[in-house]
Amino acid sequence: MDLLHLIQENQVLLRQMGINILLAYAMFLPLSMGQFQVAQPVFVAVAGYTGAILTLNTELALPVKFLMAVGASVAFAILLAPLMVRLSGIYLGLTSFALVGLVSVVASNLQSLGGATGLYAIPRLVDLRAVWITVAIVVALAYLLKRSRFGMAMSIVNDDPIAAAGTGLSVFRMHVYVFVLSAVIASVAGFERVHLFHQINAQDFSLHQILGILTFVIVGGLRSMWGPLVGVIVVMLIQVQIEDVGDWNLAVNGILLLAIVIFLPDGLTSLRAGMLRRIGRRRVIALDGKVNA
Amino acid sequence: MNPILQVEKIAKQYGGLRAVDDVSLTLELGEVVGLIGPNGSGKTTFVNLITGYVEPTSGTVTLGGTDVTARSPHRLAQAGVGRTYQVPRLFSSLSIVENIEAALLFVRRQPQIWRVLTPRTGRASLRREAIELLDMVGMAHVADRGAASLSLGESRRVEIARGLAAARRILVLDEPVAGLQGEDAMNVGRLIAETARARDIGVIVIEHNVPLVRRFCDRLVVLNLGRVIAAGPCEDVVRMPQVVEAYIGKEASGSHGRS
Repeated sequence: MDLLHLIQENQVLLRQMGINILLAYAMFLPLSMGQFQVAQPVFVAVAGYTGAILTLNTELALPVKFLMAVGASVAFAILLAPLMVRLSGIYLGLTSFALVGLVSVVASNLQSLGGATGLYAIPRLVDLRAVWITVAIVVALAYLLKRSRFGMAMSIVNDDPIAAAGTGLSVFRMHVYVFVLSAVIASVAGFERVHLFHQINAQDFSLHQILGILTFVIVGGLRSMWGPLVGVIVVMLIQVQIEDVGDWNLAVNGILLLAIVIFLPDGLTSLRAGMLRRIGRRRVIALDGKVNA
Repeated sequence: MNPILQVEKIAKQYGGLRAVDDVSLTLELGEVVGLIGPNGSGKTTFVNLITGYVEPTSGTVTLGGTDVTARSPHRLAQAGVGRTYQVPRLFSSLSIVENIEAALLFVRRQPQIWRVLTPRTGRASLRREAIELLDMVGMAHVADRGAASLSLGESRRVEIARGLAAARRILVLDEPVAGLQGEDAMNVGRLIAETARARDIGVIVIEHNVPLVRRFCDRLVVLNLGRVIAAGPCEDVVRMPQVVEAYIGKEASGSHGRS
């Protein structure tokens, strides 16, 4: 079939896309609650390196390795969360950013993690289907979350944390929850990534990485739970088209980001809602005309 | 009868400034106490102290016999303290009725992340309760509109309803009629007095509008420079020379003239 063919031909793109969607959701959830932090690569690293070491050195079954690697990373997040979310605004952002830098430096200097070359020749234990099943689960989770009371709590923390506390909501607890939830998604993505791309090294956790994911999230928009999905697909398809222009694709990325921030501050997903509203209005006017005639 | 709220010699020091200086106050159920005083007299700081937003330097707050000094705002809300803010702080991404529902939900139970299948407004009884509160403030007809679409006066009314959702024991109103014109302001004043009695809760109202507080409060407490300079029944307090001086002094120095 054509679709199968298409998937076969674009294996590499689709793998990268799946992982990026996971990472985009991991970054989106805290940002959509006004928790400005970009610590996700830390958990990608912890789960990724743990997974790689387990795979290279042990004969454990995949689910066991998965639980151990993701478990270790999430345990780290649970310890870190109460400390991190005491900070807020730009301080939290900078601290999380510094943490990513720290992990990157530690990873490139620890011989047990392969130093600057990292770990490689990791067997491919995860296939495209597994990644996209994970994507489906995360998107479904985000959708359900938005409709739940927890999602309502996230909205009001984002709207006004002071008034949210005044209605009995523990804003601190919400921040811890969302920090950890973000880390869970990032950890799963990290584990799948090393077993999909054969390798892991310190360059995977850089400013460049963070900015890349941030672009997806901003282009998609923070207001809709579909934002990260739309953002990753659109931006990556554009990136594929402009691959030939070499270094210029970074400039195109920058222009795209600027255009979105200036003309569509709520991202591409706000376009759909706006369009529907406009069409709705036109229909009402048309109906009125008929009645009058 | 034991007061529902008992504030003992509460104080807040900011560097060299004692914003609130050993203020004591008691509040009974069903009672409306007006807290007045010129700008900068420490009214809002006092309100923030008793609702947990500011930690006191010294003094105690007792709510229904329990010491709640320096408890965080969300725990005080859970304990039955509702409040409004000087500038209304409605949740702009929610509808008006959802603003009330959020308060009804979260004062009772914190949201659980693993219960993603529970929709945000599951039970019809919750909505009914929220509509009832909106009806009290005359806003039930716009329940499903977005909170961002309201005028200042309407926002204040909805915020009072949201405060009531938490206020099982006391309701603290920070300038509920600021920016409202004569008739509107009187209506809100009447609403506050009636609600306090109907729901049997204690109400503290910060207000600049002296005719309003005279009409609808049972007692007045006057702050100036962080201290209580007068307290007692309205008619007595507004005639006390130190109160007249604090207010006239302020008027003469040429500010708002809101009183």
